[in-house]
Amino acid sequence: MAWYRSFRRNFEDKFLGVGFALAIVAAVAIGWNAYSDARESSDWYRWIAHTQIVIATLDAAHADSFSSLIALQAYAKSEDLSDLDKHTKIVSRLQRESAALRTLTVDNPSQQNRLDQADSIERRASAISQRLTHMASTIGRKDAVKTPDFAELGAALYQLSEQFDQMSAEERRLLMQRIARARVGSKQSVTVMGVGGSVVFAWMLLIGGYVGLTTKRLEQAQAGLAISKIEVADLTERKRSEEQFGALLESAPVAMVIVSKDGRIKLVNAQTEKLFGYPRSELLGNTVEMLVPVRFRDQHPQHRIGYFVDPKVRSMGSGLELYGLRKDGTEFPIEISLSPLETVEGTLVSSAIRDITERKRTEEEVRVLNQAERQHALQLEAANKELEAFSYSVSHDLRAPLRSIDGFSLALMEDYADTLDAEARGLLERIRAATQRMAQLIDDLLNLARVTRSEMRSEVVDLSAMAKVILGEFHSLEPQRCVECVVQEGVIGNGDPDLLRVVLENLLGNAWKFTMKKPRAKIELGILRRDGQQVYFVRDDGPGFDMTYANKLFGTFQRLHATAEFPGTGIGLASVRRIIHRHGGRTWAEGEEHKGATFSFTLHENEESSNGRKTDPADRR
Amino acid sequence: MEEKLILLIEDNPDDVALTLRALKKNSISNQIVVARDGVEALDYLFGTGLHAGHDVVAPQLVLLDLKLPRMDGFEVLKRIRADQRTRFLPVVILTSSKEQQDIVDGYGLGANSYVRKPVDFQQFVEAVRQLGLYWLILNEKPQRSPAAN
Repeated sequence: MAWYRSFRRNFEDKFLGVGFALAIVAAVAIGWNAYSDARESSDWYRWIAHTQIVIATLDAAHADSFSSLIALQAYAKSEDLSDLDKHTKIVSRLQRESAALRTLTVDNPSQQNRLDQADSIERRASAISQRLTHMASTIGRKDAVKTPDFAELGAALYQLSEQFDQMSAEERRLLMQRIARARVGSKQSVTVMGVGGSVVFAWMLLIGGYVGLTTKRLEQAQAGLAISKIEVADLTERKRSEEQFGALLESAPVAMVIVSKDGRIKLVNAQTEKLFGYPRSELLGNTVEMLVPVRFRDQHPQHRIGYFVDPKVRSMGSGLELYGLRKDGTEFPIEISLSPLETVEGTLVSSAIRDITERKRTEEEVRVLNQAERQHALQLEAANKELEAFSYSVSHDLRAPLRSIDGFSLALMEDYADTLDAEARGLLERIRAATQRMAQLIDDLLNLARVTRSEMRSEVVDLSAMAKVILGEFHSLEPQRCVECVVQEGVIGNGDPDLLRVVLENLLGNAWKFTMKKPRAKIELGILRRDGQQVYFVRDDGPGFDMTYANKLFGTFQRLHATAEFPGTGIGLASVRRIIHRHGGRTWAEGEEHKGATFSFTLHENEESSNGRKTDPADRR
Repeated sequence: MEEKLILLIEDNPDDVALTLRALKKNSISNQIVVARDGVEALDYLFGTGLHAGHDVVAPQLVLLDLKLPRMDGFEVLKRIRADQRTRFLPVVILTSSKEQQDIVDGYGLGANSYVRKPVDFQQFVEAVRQLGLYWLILNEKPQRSPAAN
């Protein structure tokens, strides 16, 4: 027995030594494998969480670029400075979000590249916003809204939203990729652990078969060692990744709630506490249904279970209006995006919850605004139609009686020539003259109406050439007049040629008319620069006017001279003013009694800086 | 005799009187038939309604106002042009309106001329003189009505 004992001890020593060594090698190998697998897949999980946060931030930025655009549009409609202020605030929030995104996507060059573009758009938008705020106080809100700056800002914000949308799409693609990789990783890990574990177990059985019961303790110890090694590796790694994941979660700009299959809340972040009004301690471990309004609560577990059947990244209840329930019992509209989170504890679902109260409100505001605008447009259209019908009726029905008055007055004068004395004929002549004047008034009024509502074209118009043609027509109608016409060359205006012709016809026509009593008259057309502005002018050396009444000149039916002195209906300059206003310019008159008059106008005052510098005839003089 | 007549479609009695006066002043002695609205005008032309029983009439000239009770001038013009028997009738629109839309619509429907009635009666007399000279003397109309073709 001694030999056997000796052999056995010997064998035991050797076999145990080898077996022990082998088992340790196997255990370490499995441990390492599991560790690296766990590490790798936990890396993937970390990436998934990270990507989710990036997506949430991007979606917030995307929403903000729209909100700022909406605030800007609201400002254009309301001209309320608080809207502009809101817009500016959102733009600066956007800049903060971009800064956060820069850190979050530091590993992704293409996203960084897009961020560079977003940054430059944001800087531009911010500069324009500041300019607009400044302009609102200098040139007035109404005009500020009409500047090219305003349009550029709108376009920039839209561009920005697209930039974020693209980035978000890219991140979603990455997210899907990472989820797929993490699934493969965790499957591999399970396989290795399973196969490796059974190998170790087989080894232990084999060893146990030889060493008998005495070695069983050792075997157990070894197996325990192997398992604890795995657990330790797994635990430390999990702890580390959870810590990082937790930090990311905490700082996420949206409420993140991670829920297990049975609906228990596993993890929440600071935003969740803030949004729902619960301290963390009251949330963790409770079912997520506590955050769902009572009226939806019954159906929620069903949806939740449904999600776990086919977990993938998507938004919850797309197309439905979702609401969250605060601790204080109040509800608020939310948007939720869901993604599965594969962990050692099984599949969890991570939901990013965003409060969309503000967005809903702006959407509603925009809807109301649009509705009001549509209403307004309809009213305007109706008013225009009415005006058209009115004009038509004026042109038809007001003229008809005039024809009768004129025709029958003439009939009287002709048919009763022998019975009517000179005075009677004189009275009838007066009646006829009055009807002519009335007819002229009607025509001028119709023209004024047409000037106001006609469609506008925009062309480069050679005002010099146009003025020469008009003055030529005046000359041919009254060849006996001696008028020196000085038309500066190269006077160019941007606008509707038909309407600008009406302006020149009226201004030159006035100059022609008011100099009719001068044996030698002078009429000038030119351009000069005043306060950085191109000023077109028509000057005559006629009787001029008292500056006290300068403002009355452009009013409808306003006249400073008796009709007997100078004919006219008092509508010409009113038409001029309307046309110039429609071209974004101003009109004014300067004069002195017996010293002539100058009528000036500008075009497109607000856009002057962009297109006015090209032709500065003032320099050419 | 009917061939030389002028159909005046006009609802305003003052305008009728003034037009007749203007024609007379220009020694235009053609028979003048006055229709007070569009329906009456078509009844006269096609021998329907009040004018049932007589044949289709082909006046030398139709003077057409646009604003008419019951059926307006555009509709009358459309019906005249739509019917083979009256398709070639010379129709002159004589109206107060100088709205571009009216002028365009008038020509679009096949008016031969568009004349705006001046307020000054002397100018109106002159306009009627020229119209009479052109449409009653200078202008050649087809010998057969298009329906016979």
